[in-house]
Amino acid sequence: MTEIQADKLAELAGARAPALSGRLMRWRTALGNAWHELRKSRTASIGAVMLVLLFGACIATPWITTYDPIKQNYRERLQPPSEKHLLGTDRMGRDIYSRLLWGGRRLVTIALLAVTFGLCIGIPYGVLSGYFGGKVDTVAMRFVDGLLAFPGLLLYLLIVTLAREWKMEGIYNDMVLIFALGFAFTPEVARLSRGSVLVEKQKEYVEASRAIGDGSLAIALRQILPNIVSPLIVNATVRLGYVILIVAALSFLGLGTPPPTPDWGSDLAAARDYMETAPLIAAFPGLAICYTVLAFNLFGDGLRDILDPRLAER
Amino acid sequence: MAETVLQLDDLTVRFHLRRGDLTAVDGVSFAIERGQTFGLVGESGSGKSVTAKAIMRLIPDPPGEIPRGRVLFEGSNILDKSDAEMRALRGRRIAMVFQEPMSALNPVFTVCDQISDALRTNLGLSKAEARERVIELLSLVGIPSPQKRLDSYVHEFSGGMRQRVMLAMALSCNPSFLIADEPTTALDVTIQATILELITGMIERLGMSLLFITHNLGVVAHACDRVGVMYASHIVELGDKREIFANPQHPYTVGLLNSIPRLDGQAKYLTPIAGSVCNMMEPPSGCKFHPRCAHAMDVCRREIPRLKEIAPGHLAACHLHDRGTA
Amino acid sequence: MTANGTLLSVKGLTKHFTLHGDIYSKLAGEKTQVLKAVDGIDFHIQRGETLGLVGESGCGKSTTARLVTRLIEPTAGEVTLKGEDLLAFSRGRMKEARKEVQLVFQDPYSSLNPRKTIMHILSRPMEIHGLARSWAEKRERVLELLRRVGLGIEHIDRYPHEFSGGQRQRIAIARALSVDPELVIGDEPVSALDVSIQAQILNLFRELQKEFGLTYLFIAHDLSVIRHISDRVAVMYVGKIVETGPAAALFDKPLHPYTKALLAAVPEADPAKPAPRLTLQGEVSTPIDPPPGCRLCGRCPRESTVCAEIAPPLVDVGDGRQVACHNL
Repeated sequence: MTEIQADKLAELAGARAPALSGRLMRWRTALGNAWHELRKSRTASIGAVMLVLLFGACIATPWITTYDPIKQNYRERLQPPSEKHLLGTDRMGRDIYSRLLWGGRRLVTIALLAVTFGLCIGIPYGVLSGYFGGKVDTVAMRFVDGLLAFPGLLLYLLIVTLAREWKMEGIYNDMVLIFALGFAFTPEVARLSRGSVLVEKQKEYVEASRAIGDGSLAIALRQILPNIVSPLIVNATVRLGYVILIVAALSFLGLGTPPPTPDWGSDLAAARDYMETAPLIAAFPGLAICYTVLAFNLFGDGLRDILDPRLAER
Repeated sequence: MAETVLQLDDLTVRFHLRRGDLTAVDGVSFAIERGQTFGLVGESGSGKSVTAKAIMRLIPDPPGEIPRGRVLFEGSNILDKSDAEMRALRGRRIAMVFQEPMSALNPVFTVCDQISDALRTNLGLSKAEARERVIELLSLVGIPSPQKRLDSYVHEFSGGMRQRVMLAMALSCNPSFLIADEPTTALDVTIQATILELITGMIERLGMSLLFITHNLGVVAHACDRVGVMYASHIVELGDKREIFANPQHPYTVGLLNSIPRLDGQAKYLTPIAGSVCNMMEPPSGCKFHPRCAHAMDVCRREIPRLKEIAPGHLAACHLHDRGTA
Repeated sequence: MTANGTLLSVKGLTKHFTLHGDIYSKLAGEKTQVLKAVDGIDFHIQRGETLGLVGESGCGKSTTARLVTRLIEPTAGEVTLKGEDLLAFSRGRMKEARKEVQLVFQDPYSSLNPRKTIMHILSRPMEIHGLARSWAEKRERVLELLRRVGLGIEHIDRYPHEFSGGQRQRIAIARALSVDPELVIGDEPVSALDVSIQAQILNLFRELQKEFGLTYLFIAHDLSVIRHISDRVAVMYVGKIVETGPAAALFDKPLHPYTKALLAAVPEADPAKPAPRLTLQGEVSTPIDPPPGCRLCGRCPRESTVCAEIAPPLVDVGDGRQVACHNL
């Protein structure tokens, strides 16, 4: 062995267990690669930029709002955009700009939590069902079929109405919303994961893991799971936009967010009466919804393009 | 003097990929005469399949591109032909047989449908006439009870039978030239023997010429007249089959022949070629084989060797043969 | 010095798959069919030797590999590993056995998990069997393994897709070695590789056998590869073993008509040798609901009436050779 090789060997062998730092390094390079890959799809890049702006606004909300979103001011109602009120005021004199920001923050948080909830339940459900197969799989998937057959909107209405009945306020209301939305997302995730697992199960590396003596649970969750993550990510991303749309729709119908909490949907509903006199009040929340859903959709679509051919390249 | 059916002159095929440019075929030249079988041998990544597709003009453009070279089929350059002219050629004068019959044949059509489709488009036969001809063809390729098998679907046949069906389809319009791209690789060795016999028999009977592409030197030794060895997009050796096997002149050919385990006698260890095929996206300078070559010299790192005639009809691209030439 | 003795012994090993028809065929009254993938085979492997198992596709050799490691459960038969009944092993003992018997698979592109680094792939077996505790210990052992199979140590943190087919196969071999096995079963380990790489890997197999005193069950369909690497050979056809014997003897003087046909069909890389030809008629017999009698019935040049009725047993014919044929 040459001196250089000996040094390298010592370095590689002597290196301490990465624990955090090594893994962090790997994440950084992974992120770096991810950025590079992202640039390959125009759609994804545009979506990503839009999302960065969106998330940035959500995070920075406490610092960039100008007024209290629920403070009414009847002397300044229905004003057009001005220096004082960037996007004007609504029928109760509340600053629209601030309302949009706080509303957006809430919506995006709800969407993220709901989708995460759906993934957390759906993925293990689908993966384990798919991996173990047999009767367990059959029964589990019939449950999923049943849930999917249920009209989504009806489910939300049911849960939301119950929440109202039980007089759940504030954060409990939001939690119910998150639960409902997440739960509705679960069957799709479960089905998708199960399908992917069925395909992966046939691959030789799974057999190899069994031949080495790896336990079934370990194989399903540690070996197979990382390989099926791609379509799930794409699905989840698009779903985020969809969830925001649903919450806005529910609020529009008067069933989602109770007033006076800022919400794009309820703002839109309230603006209906003023379409002729002050159309801008409807325009801004509407545009906000469009922008957000578009951002998620573009990013998700672009992501699909990036992830698929790369898999083929391997 | 025998008539040249196919002649490749300096054919080069380049692909423009996201990661960069890949020259899959570089300056390939050889000729096939009427009634001759030419074996194009190479391992994966050598460019042999791309060469075949280039001859049939099946290279997608983009990302593929043929920046230079000529492919002369019966005198005229295929690369200059229009799409319509190519369609007239394919199937009728040049036919191709592929490696995987399951993916090359359409699973939703019956065997009769597929073959008569070719017949009716190319030769303008009527439905009944085509059906008759298909029965003829199926018995020609050795499928038992062709009348009964006519209306079967592809998946109802075994691997060897499917290959025969593909052969029947290829021969249906009496082409003068057949390209077979690894036709026996996916088959069991006993079936392989029958298909090889079939192909060589057909070629002789119908007076066709054959370009046989494979990585299996054993198959080449028995099915071909002349051999071209490809490595990393170049032809490194070219010549009569007996010459090449008895007297290989390029280190790669020598290495390849030494790597093959023999059926008789038993060497304790084989003499493999060191290393592995170069990265075609970033090929080494000079001769692409030099990093693996035991005889590499300085000049090998600098210049790509050209094909030179070592003996009549036997060419090799190696600087070892430069000595003695001015 | 390798101790002699039988490492693995198999008797009457059988695997039948019932093919369930769809509802239409059931309604039509069609019986369910049985696919006899492996139908009562016997063989044994001595410690330190290489048994080559050869046959064409569908003969059941891959299934045999999986039966012997209990990746699939046999329908019937006995498997004896180091004198113990493998099929009666408890879960704990079976896990132990996974250290003693290891597999190398055919497809280098799918037998390594694409999302795990080489370090993980090679250290996971050690982790499972408690062969290395600390990360540093695992690291050292993995580096040693990489060196032993001829891969650069800088590859340790890379992913499978960064390697060529031959290199991946080396990694697969390293994985099998990581638990210090006694028996390594190669299920067509070189079939997916280019000829020049194949030669490298075959040499590697030989070197490792010498160095670690390994015993091999080498499965392949390529006769030249089998000839090269095996001490003894068993020939399979449609779920049955038709001939066994020492490699040199079997190849020089094949006794069973199928073995003869296989050898005659191999195209040798020498134009002076005879051209490949087929001495059997027809297509490969089906393993689904096979008729009684010899599997080669209907294709064999040496057939007689008894062949269709009674399946010939595998009998000793001296010199360590066995053949299953009525008409020798």
